[in-house]
Parts: sequence; C-alpha cells; structure tokens
Amino acid sequence: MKNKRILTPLIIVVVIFILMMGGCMGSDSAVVETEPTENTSVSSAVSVAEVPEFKGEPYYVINNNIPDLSTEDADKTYFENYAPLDNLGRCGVAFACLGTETMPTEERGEIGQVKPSGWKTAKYDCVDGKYLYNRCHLIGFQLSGENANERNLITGTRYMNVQGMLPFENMVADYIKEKGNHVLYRITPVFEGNELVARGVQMEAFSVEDEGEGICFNVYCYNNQPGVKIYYATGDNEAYDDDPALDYGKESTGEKCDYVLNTNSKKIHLPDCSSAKSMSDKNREEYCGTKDELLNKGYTECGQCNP
Amino acid sequence: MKVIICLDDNGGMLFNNRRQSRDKEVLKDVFNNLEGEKLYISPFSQKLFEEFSDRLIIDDALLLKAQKKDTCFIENKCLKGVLDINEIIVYKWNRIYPSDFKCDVDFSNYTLTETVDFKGFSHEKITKETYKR
Repeated sequence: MKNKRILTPLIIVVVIFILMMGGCMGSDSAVVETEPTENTSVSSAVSVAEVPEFKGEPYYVINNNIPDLSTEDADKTYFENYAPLDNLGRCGVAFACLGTETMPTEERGEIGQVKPSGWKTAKYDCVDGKYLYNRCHLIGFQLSGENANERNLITGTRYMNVQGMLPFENMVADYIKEKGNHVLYRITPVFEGNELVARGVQMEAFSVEDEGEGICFNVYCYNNQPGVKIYYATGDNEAYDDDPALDYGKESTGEKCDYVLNTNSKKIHLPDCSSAKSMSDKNREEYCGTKDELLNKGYTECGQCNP
Repeated sequence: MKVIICLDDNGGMLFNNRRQSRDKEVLKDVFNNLEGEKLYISPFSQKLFEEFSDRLIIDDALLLKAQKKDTCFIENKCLKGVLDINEIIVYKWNRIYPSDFKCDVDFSNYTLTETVDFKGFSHEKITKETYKR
C-alpha cells in the first residue's frame, strides 16, 4: 500500500465545510457562481493571452523552460496536492514532488465514472482512436498512481493528452525510475473566464536532488485538436476541415524535398516527374540536398525530367 | 569511426539542453562492445559516464580527433557532414519524449545490419540497431 501525504483529513474537512457554507449563502450565491473562480494559488501561472495561437505545435515553451519552482518546496521526499474543484466543477492546480513512492503499484482502473467539467462524448475520423476528448490526468497515472481522482482529471483532447502532455510525462517517469530521484511537478489547467474546458495546461518540472540538471521544463500544452473546432465555454465541438493546423509540417516537408530518388535504379527525379509519381514506395525516397551530392553517391539523372 | 547515439521515436536527442533519457543497461552494453578500447565522449556526457571514468577520452572536438578505429558517444553534436563515420549504433528508447535537438543523420546512406531488443533498467524495451556504410 502506498502511503501518500496528500491532504490531511483536517484540511479536507475544512475545505468541505467552506464549500458547504458557500452553497448555503442564499440568493446571492447564484451571482457568485457566475463569477470566475480562482482555485489556483500560482501567481506565475501563464494566461491564454500570453501564449501564441495554436498553429499545429503541441506545446509552447514558457520563460525559456525555467519553471517557477524551488527546491525549497521539497525536502527530497514526496507529496501530492490536488486543488478542490471550484464552484463550476473545474480542476485547479495539481502540485507534487514525485518519486518512486508516488508511482503506481497496481494496474490502472476504470475512470469512466468521472465527468470532468465540459465533458462531452464526440467522435471524429481525424482523431487518433476517434474520441475527441479524453479524461486527461493532470498528473499522469504513471507518475502519481492517481486513477479516478476527480481533482486530477480534466476534459482534454486526445491531441493534448498524447502529443502534448505524454512525452513530458514519459521523460519525467523514466528519469525517476532510472535515478531514483524526485521531481517537483506542477500542472496548472488554464481556463479563460468561466469556460468549462481548459484552453491548455501549463506543465512545470524540476528535478530535486540534482537541482534541475536532469529535468527542467516549463511549457504550455494546447488543448486543441487539429481538424476540430472546440467551444471551450461548453465543450461543444464541430468538424473544422479548413483548420490550418491540419497542414502543419506538410508544407515545409514539401519545400525541403529537392529530389525524388529511385533507390533501385539509382535515378534522380524532380518531385513532379511522372516517373517519380508512379514509383513504387519500396524504391522511393525523398531527398533534401544538392544534385552533386547524389552524383557523387553514384546516382544518375532521369532522362525524362532532366533534374 | 564508430558513432553511438540514443534516439526517441521522433529521432529526438535532447530537450532544453538535457538528454531525453538514460539507462544503465545501455551504458553497460556500450562498454561490453568496446573490447577494452576507450570511449570518446564530450564534456556534456561526462556525468553520465562517471562510473566508467577510467575508460573515457573526454574532448569536445571528439569528432575531429577520433581515428578510424575509435568509438564516439554523441549526445549534442550534429553529425551531418561528418564524413569519417563508417558505423552507427542507435539505441532506440521506443518512447516519445519532447525534443528540440534531433538526429540529422541520413540513414539512407547506411545499411541496417543488425537489430537487437533488450530490457533496460528503466525502459521496457530498448532496440539496438547497427548501421554500416
């Protein structure tokens, strides 16, 4: 059994009491619930206005990757804190000092019973696995062992979950497993106003024992999905076939390809040569570089397109 | 010369001037295959190999100084244009990590001669690929 220092029972009781009082404040309470609710204590958290618009890169580096974390927050031991949901049912900051102690000791269980704020079920052919939204862990299961904790699950696109957050979680998890060290780790969901779906998450991490030599980053992962328009206020969504993010990377790859090679016949073709277009994939290779380099490697020019 | 590199599934090597990952079993495998020879590394890799300090040549200009029979472990150097490479050993993490420095080797100039999978210390499966020119 894991022994985690999450929130002491006393703090939990106090938080529940405060929330109950908030729900019994008479007619004015309805007005209060429509106001943006802060359940983050991170003054340095990035805002939506501070990050560029999503164009197809899954994350954006903040403050030259320097997180606003200090080893004074850790004494080389572990803890996990998850902010209570606000009065719109939204997650707040998840902050932890991760180590082998916080990693899962059991198989991952069901989380379908949790409905994070803005949750909708939607499927698109352009989404890996079809489902637009995942119940997205703020602190990944592989790091925290937290499974169906509603304070740790937001409505996140498949793209943010897999392309944005997972690579960073992998890097931290493998570092901890290899070194046995601890990593200060803070995930801040970034909401705009009263919207129910986060625009993105800020991920900050700093390795404790080696003072950031192993792990040090500060990034914002976009809660976007190329090809889908998301209405963050409600989680509603619709296909967005003209999304420029769908073309991200394609154009530049095309520009970089100077020649098409037939690796079997050792012929050099221009990309628009008919022989290049009909070439079997097995023999086809796109080449970025000069023709002289290829001639030196024994390739010869196609007599049809004269590259 | 022989060059050794570690890559993720996107061909990444570093993020924020830090190696993407590390594994004790990779280091053991590197030295098991050196047959007593020393390994060229740059100062960037020195801490990674601190347990093997008596078997290292540490030089930031390793790609210029290494001779034909030598082996270089590369983490933060571009390899495009280095003409003297006759063999590349790639340890693949079989994971995706963030990367802002990627491998620039054109593997079409090499022939894949051997692929071996093994279990790492912190990685489920590491794939070792040997490419020869």
